[in-house]
Amino acid sequence: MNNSQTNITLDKLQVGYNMQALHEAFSSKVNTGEFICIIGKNGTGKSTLLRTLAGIQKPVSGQIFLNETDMGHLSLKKIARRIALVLTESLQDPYIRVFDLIALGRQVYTDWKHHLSEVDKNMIHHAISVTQTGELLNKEFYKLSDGQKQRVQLARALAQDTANIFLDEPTNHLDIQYKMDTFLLLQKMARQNQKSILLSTHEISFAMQLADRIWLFDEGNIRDIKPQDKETPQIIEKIFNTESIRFNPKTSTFDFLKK
Amino acid sequence: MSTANKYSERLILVGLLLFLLVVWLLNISLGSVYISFQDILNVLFKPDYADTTSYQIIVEYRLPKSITAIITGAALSVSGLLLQTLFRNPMAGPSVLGISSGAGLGVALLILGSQLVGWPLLAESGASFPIIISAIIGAVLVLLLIIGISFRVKSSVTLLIIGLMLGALTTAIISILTYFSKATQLQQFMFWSFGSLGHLTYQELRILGSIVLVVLLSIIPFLKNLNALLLGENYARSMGVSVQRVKQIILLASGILIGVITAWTGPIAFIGLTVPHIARLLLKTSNHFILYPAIILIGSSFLLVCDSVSQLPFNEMVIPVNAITSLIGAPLVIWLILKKKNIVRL
Repeated sequence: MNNSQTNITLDKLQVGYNMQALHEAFSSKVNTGEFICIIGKNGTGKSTLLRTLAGIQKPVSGQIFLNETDMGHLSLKKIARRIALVLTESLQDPYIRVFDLIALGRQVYTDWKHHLSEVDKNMIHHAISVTQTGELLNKEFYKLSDGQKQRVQLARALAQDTANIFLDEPTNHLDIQYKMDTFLLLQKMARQNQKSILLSTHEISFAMQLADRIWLFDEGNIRDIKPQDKETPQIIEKIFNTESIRFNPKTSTFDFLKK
Repeated sequence: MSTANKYSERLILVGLLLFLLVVWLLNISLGSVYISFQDILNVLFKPDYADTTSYQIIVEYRLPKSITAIITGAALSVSGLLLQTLFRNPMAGPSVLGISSGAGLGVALLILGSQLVGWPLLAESGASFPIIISAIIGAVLVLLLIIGISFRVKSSVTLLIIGLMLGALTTAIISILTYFSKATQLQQFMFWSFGSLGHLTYQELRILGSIVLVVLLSIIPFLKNLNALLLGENYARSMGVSVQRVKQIILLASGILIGVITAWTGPIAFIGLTVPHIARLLLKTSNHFILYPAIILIGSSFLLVCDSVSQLPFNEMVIPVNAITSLIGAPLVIWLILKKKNIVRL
């Protein structure tokens, strides 16, 4: 992975709403096959950053380059061939079935009739087998458990066949088993399929153990750190320690302080 | 996958087409005078029946009325589907959101308002060009207002309440206008507002039919994008759909459909809201490629049935068709809400 390419370049980027930036300018890169976690407290701008990088929201200042092209000059279709997105938004529709939902990932490649070619079908079946969603295909999406829903949305993103997959808090509402499974699956997709995975999360200990890099929202600054760096535990302690919990660098967990 | 599924969907579509044909024939044969299927076929296909009274009743009255019902049912139902997908709200529809009232206000301002300012340009009956334009403008303006509001409030309940309030507002303005109106204009407007499928000439039908057909055809390239919109606007964007453009096209299309239909037939309630739900229940899908043709067929059949009922077969009396669509549509919606709770997760 040492000779990896740069997929996305952030150049003095600021994200936010109504021209109000949520943080100082941030420059970084996303390389092929990297697994990056965005962590930070609630309301610091994790989701906004993710949506901006995915091109569905404009940056307040700075630039994003997708393979050296300024994202501002790219059409939504071109971006959709490079970046797939999994959000926390719930799906209300009571009829949409799992297979049809996954097949929607091929939108950007199909004709107006959404006719699925052999290539489309192969990509869909690949996505289904990676995410192990084969048994769910005929079910109505809204009837699935939260963990299953997440896997199906991931399959849709995989079917989109992009070099990058961004996920907004993909392990919300999941029990510990599903959280672990999701993180491991995402890590595997980065390692084996050379996808660049960028996700926002509150699971600091998972991020510390599995991520290649962490983008950490620290009081108006975004820090670009690696879990194994010496000073990383101190930075995390500084942000997340409170009167009642303390970060334990050995286990990457938070310990309750006894009174 | 699921070729069995696709097969049964096609079968249902064929069934719906046959149902439409049967209902159409029934609609023509029923009325104050009963005309048998045999006679209908004779009149339609044999030239030597041209002098009979059956011929006159059918060709001059019932046939144009039934074609109007088919066009109107299809157009209103499609606009309902478009609005429900656009707002991601199962309770959206032309009349619920006050869009029909908007068209009504446009017409009222024209018919009733023009004479207030001493501008008697609309003495003749029927839908003249100005009536159609003012109905479209009224519908599109209310639509734009609703869109503006829907950016601020995401809750379905709030949106519905605002739609009702807009309806109340337009009704109030209309009642003020009627209070100051002369009897002839008032009568003209009242007849219009009852909703009526009759009295369209073949000439008018050709115009109405072409407009509706063009709009219906121009929506087809966007059906794929509508499916993506089911996941929400952010997801649709992430899959390469330029949501802004699709939104504008959907809004313009629904505005034109509701506007032209309302201009000619008057406000016809509940079709746009109810028919998409019937189609989803029947086909168990929200895939627009299947829903779209299904809704056109069901919408046409639904209004033909309502029209047949409003004729009170074998009787001289006629009830305004608007009353019938509400009488059938309102309980259906209540039943849907009670029966299928997941349809309305407000």
